[in-house]
Order: sequence, then C-alpha cells, then structure tokens
Amino acid sequence: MKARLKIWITSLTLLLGGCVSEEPFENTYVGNVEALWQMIDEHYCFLTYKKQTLSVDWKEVRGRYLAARLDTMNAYNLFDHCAAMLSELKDGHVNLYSTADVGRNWSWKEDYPKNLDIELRESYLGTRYKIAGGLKYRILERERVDGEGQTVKDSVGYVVYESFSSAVSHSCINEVLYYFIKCKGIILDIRGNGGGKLDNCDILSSHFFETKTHVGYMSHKTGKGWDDFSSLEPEYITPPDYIRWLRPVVVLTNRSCYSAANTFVRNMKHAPYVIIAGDRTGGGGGMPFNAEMPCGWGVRFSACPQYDAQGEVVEHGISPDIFCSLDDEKAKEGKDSMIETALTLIE
Amino acid sequence: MCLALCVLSVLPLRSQVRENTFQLGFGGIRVQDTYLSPLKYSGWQLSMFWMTERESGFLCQVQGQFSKTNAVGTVMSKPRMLGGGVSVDAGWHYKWHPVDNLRFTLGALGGLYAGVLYNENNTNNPANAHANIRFSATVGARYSFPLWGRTWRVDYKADVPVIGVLFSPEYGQSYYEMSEYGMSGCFKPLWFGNGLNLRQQLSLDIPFKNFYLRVAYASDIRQQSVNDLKWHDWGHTGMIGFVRRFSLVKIR
Repeated sequence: MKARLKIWITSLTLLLGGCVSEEPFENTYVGNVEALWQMIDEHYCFLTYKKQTLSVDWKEVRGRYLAARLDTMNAYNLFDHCAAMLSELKDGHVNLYSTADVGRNWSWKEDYPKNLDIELRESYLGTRYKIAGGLKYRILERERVDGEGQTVKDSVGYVVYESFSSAVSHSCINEVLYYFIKCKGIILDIRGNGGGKLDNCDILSSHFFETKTHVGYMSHKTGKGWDDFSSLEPEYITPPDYIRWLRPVVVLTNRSCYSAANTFVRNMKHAPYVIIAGDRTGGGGGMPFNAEMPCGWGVRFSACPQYDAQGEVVEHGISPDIFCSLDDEKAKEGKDSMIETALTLIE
Repeated sequence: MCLALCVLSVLPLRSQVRENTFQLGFGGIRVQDTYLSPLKYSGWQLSMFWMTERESGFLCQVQGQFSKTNAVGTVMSKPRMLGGGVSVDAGWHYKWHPVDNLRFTLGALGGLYAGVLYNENNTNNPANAHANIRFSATVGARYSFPLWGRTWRVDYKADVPVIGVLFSPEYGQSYYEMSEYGMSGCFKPLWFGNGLNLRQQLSLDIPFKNFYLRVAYASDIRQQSVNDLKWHDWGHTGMIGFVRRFSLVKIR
C-alpha cells in the first residue's frame, strides 16, 4: 500500500512540478532595472573582458543603478536610466529600444576623428559610377612616375561599400572585378560601414583569397556564467569558384567600421595582396542577440564573441597596416588624402 | 502536410476497416521561449488534426497549428510572436473491451515534431526552431451509449513522449554559427527530465446519418528545458470535426 502511495505521489509531483517555465521580473521600475541587469549578467559575452580592459564592474553597476530614486522617475527618465546602465559597457552592440528612442553608446566612433567626408568621397565616384548590389564602383585614371622615372598612365578600381546590410552576391562581385580587369589594383573604401550581415562579409572577402585560409575563431555562451563559453570554432575563408582578385587591394577604414565591417577587416588582414589603410576600426566583435524587458522595451547585446587568428578578441577594433587620416588642407583642394594615400600604395 | 496525408492514407492495410477523423480548432495558447525573450506570451492558435485508425490497431495522426501571441503584462509596447508547427505520429495500440460499450486502448507511437517561433521584435535572433523525434506512450478510453435511438460516444485519448531526441540551440548559440560550423551540441535526449510533454483530447461524437460530428477539447503541452534554455507552448483548443468509419472493398 505504501509503495503504491509513493508511486502516486511521485507521479503527481512529476505532473504538477513538470511545468517548464521561467518567471519574468515584475513590470515595475525596480523589476525592469533588475531584469535588464540580469539579462546582461547572464547573456552578455564580454563581462570578464570589459572588466579586464575597461574596469567595468557589472556587479557594482547593479547596486549603483538600483540605488537611484526610481520611484520619482517617469517612463522617459527610466529609459535614460536603463540606457545609461547599458552605456557602462561601452559597446556599440548594446542598445535599448523603445518606440521613442534608441539607447546607445557610440563612443567607439564619436570620440575619434571621423576621417570621412561624404561629399569628398562622392567627388571621386562622380555621377556616372556603377552600382552592383550594395557596391558603388568606377575606374580612377591616374598618372604616376614609375621606378625608372617614367611617367605612366594606368587605372585603379574604386569601390565604396557603405553597409554590409546591402546585398552583395558572387555574381555582383564577379561583374565588378571583371570591369576592373585592366586596373592595377582596387581601393575598397568601407569607411562609415557600420556592419550588417556576416554572410555578405564572407562573400565579399572570399574573392580576395587564393587558398582556404584560417582567419579567426567564433564561440558562444553555453550557460549563465560570465566565462561559460564553447570551445573556439575556427573560421575559414574559402575562395569561390569565381573570379579571384590576386592583385593589390587597399581597404580604407575609419573608426565607423563596426561589427560585420570589423569582421571583414579581420578577414582581409589574411588576404595575400591586401593592405589595410586608414584608422583603427571601431570594433564590435560580438555577434548580437535581442531580448525584451518586462515593460516591452527591446534590448540588444553582444552574445557570441569573435576572435582573430591568434585568438584575441576583436571587440575593440583592429589596427590598420598603415595609419592615415583625412587632411583638412587637402580636403579644401578637393583631395581625399586617404584615397590619395591608397592610390600611392598600389604600384 | 498534404503529401504526408496522401502517403499515410494508402499504407498497406491488414484490415480494410478504418476510421478517419478530421478536426479544426481554435483556442488559447501560452508561450515562453527564453532563447527569444524572457517574457511570457499569450494569444490564440488555429489547429488542425487528422487521424486514421485501422481495425488492426494501426493508427496515424497528423497535427498542425499556427499561433499568434503578444507579450503578457508589458505596457510600453506589445511585442508579438508568431508560431507554427507540425507533428506526425504513427503506431499501434492494443484494444481491450471489458464490456461491450467500453473500450480501453494502450499503445505506442513513433513520430516527429517540427516547429518555429518568430519574434517580430528581434532582429538578430528573430526565430527559434523546435524539433524532436520521439516514441510516445498512448492511452485511450471510449464509452458508447444510446441516446435518442443512436449510439453516441465519449472518447478520451492521451499520448506522452517517453524517449527520443530533441533539437535545441545551445544557450547563446546563433543560427549563423550553426549554419556555418555545424550543430554539434544541439541534439539532446528527450525524456521526462527535460520537459514533460502531453497531448490529450476529450471528445463527444454526435451521430449523424453516416458519420459522427466530433466536438472536442484538446490540450497540447509541449515544453523543454535544455542547454539552460526554457521553452513551453501550452495550448488549449476547442475543436470540431467529423469522424467517418468505413471499409474498403476490393473488386476484382
């Protein structure tokens, strides 16, 4: 009889306690701040890294932001308060979204020279440039003095790619590269490219590789602990069975190159005929995820860290091979000094 | 799904007598998927259920549903999720008639479920897939009774997945990473310990000229807790449909 009773009790416990559910925080001001803090604490992938590099102590942040007089705030104040808490992470992939505003920390680009004058860049493209997917391109004719002191005329392909959200396909890139068939090299200007789809990044970079090349690693969180990560997954770029550009390429960068653009630069560092020129990239080496606060505001945060081929985190950007910046004096003469530098790098 | 129905309808028969059921339903659903959001969602679902049962005990069932839900308790905005899934099960059950008008069944099903949840608010991880292959235990009871000169039926059946394999991304794993570098770690054993699943239906069969009109309450509890991620999908649906019993006669 006792054995039967035990079986019934066990079965009932299984049925009643078998509900898989996680109670969200209450939709109060305190509940929302708590929920946001915990979301980052459990999901954000750079807490240890930010503590080591920027001295961000996320445990201390909790106490400071919960100690504020939340009961005196209205919804707008609460939004600013939560956005300020997220700003402590100094990560462009960490955002708070409401219908009224986007909470952000763009210090990765706002604290540095822009090194981009859109009008100046457009003057190099002119009005007759071609468009293939998200790529704007044209041939720049130039005169230069070669190593024997002779003046030679040749040409360089110039491509502007403003966002990795704009589609590119192998077909588009084939067309562009074929158009540049007589050019000595290509300037690939991704200044101001804030990222987009990693697929586009892989497609574009693959055309500049000769062989399958290891370019970095990726991992993801496997649990709620700050350091619960999967093993590093090697990332490779495999050249496509299409046109491969095995001549000089200069990739122009600035601090606004972020996220997928940062990954593109990481990849291109390993391409055989590529020079990265300009300013350090802005970073954004963590693939973001989204979640929601109890009040309904959206949250975005870095979730899957990316590394370079040496296993170093690329969250805080990648240095160019050659530093150069926009010269205001030359800009007044209608010259983009960064494009001019790139032209000199293509022999 | 239509293809599955056609294939299953022409499976070889040990007995030519069969009973086919088709039902459509509408009801409420509560959803939570912590891969997409920590919030709970509730809303409505449309569902479809088709089953064929042979005299021999062979049975096959196909179920599909579509849901639309909104976050519960939010005030600043109303995030929305869309969901859908299909399950296909086939198996056999033993029938036992202790008395003429009462039938109990006990059997086993093998099947699969595949579904997806889409969160309209999320741009980087907008959707999550749920899938499993499982063996389920099934029980049922049917009571027939005369009323107004016809035979009415009350039917209850339930099935519970006992063992199988389920798919779930790892805690913070992106679908980009899965598509590029494989899904090792995404397949886990399915058993009671990582989510009790239950599908049950209580129905009343109202006799008409040559078929039964079925009015039913169906409850579908799907849930899993693996890789530190929790998912539940609790649906309660009112259903209406018809049941037809007939036999195939071969004419040589």
